[in-house]
Amino acid sequence: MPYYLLLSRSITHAQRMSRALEQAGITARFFRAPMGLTDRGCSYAVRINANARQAARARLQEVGLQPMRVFYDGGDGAFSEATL
Amino acid sequence: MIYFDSAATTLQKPEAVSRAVAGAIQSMTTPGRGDYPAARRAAELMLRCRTEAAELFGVPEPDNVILTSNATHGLNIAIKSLVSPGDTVVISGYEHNAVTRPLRAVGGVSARIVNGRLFDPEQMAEGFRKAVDGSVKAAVCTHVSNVFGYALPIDEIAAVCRERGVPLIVDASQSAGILPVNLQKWGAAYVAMPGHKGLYGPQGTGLLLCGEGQPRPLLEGGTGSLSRQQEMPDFLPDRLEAGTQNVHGAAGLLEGLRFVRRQGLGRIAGHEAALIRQLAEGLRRKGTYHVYDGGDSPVLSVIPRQTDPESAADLLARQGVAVRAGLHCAPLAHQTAGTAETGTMRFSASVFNTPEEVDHVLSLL
Repeated sequence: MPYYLLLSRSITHAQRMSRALEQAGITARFFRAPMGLTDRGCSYAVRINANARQAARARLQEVGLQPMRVFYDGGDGAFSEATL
Repeated sequence: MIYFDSAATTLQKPEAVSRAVAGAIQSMTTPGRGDYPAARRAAELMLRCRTEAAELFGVPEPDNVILTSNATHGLNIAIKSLVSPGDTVVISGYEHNAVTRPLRAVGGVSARIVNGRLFDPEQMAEGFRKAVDGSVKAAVCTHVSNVFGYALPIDEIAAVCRERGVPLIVDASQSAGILPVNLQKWGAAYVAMPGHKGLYGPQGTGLLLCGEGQPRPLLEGGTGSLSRQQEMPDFLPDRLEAGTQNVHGAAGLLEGLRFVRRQGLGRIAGHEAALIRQLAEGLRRKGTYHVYDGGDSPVLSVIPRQTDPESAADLLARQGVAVRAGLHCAPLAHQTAGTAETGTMRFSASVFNTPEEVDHVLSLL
């Protein structure tokens, strides 16, 4: 299933994004980001289904939390950089 | 034992605090490292602790609540972030060594000390109005004197600092969990507090509330973030939390915060102040103590007229009453109040003390 990864700057940032999305009814789970997606070392990412992109963007804007970078996986395991 | 040394450390804690610490020891590791359940539980706990502290202390973002080892740790970060050698700072005459020693350690700092009379907040506020000007790099002020329980006029002092654009550091060691403490309302740069006093958490815990500005880390090391980068992260809380954090302590602190919120600040302050008034009135009636009483504080300092404070405290200890004597790590406060020669014997209450305990102590004095 296609999904987006929202890269966070820290675990606290990832938790807060994840919590804000969940509170809005958007399924979100944070976990350690694959090292290949991070240019400065360890980081966390929040995963959301691709069909929740617009709702997630609105929710994160509403609470003032923005991901550092966004990646998209169309279901083939290959990430491409994207925007929310 | 009857315990009246809560200004140092509250001994009696809510049962939930002990349970939470024990539970965390058995079930939590460290957030930001592994990604297994024990690490995720720790991460959730730390965020809850930051979030609930932010709600209680008027911090807009939980990221700006830093878990420290104690108030001294937080004050060191705050002072060393804002003050450089050669700077001028304004401090009250009631500061603890947790403020004066870091200032001395910075080196070459010129401290303007606002020496106001005890229990005269108008004079203290006026002193800050005169001392805080454009040449001042920061102001540091205790909210409540740890020696005398004197509540300084922090709202007025904060207003002066805001008006003149001078960053304010508040030492809330004696007020957190008793009086309203609000970073945003004060517009303070930093507010430091311990977890083990009025917040009823374990020793080795504390909070540093950060306002605007980029703090300088006191420690550098692993944060679980940006690991390829050799500089500390430029975002909070990671910037100020290098190394493995005291998750077990934070679990206890979170329950302490919840206890304080359930009890309510007004109820806690009212209860403790009533006990101290009862004690002060009883001691005045005896006529053998010089009593330093501001009327609405959880702390009371006295000087016995017939012996020294240490001997009086020792006598009480041998009769099962815990109080503290000496300078209370605040020689400046004694200098300001005129008690530096003898020090004082200090009684400090918590929500767990009772009027019957006060009566018993009075019967021993």
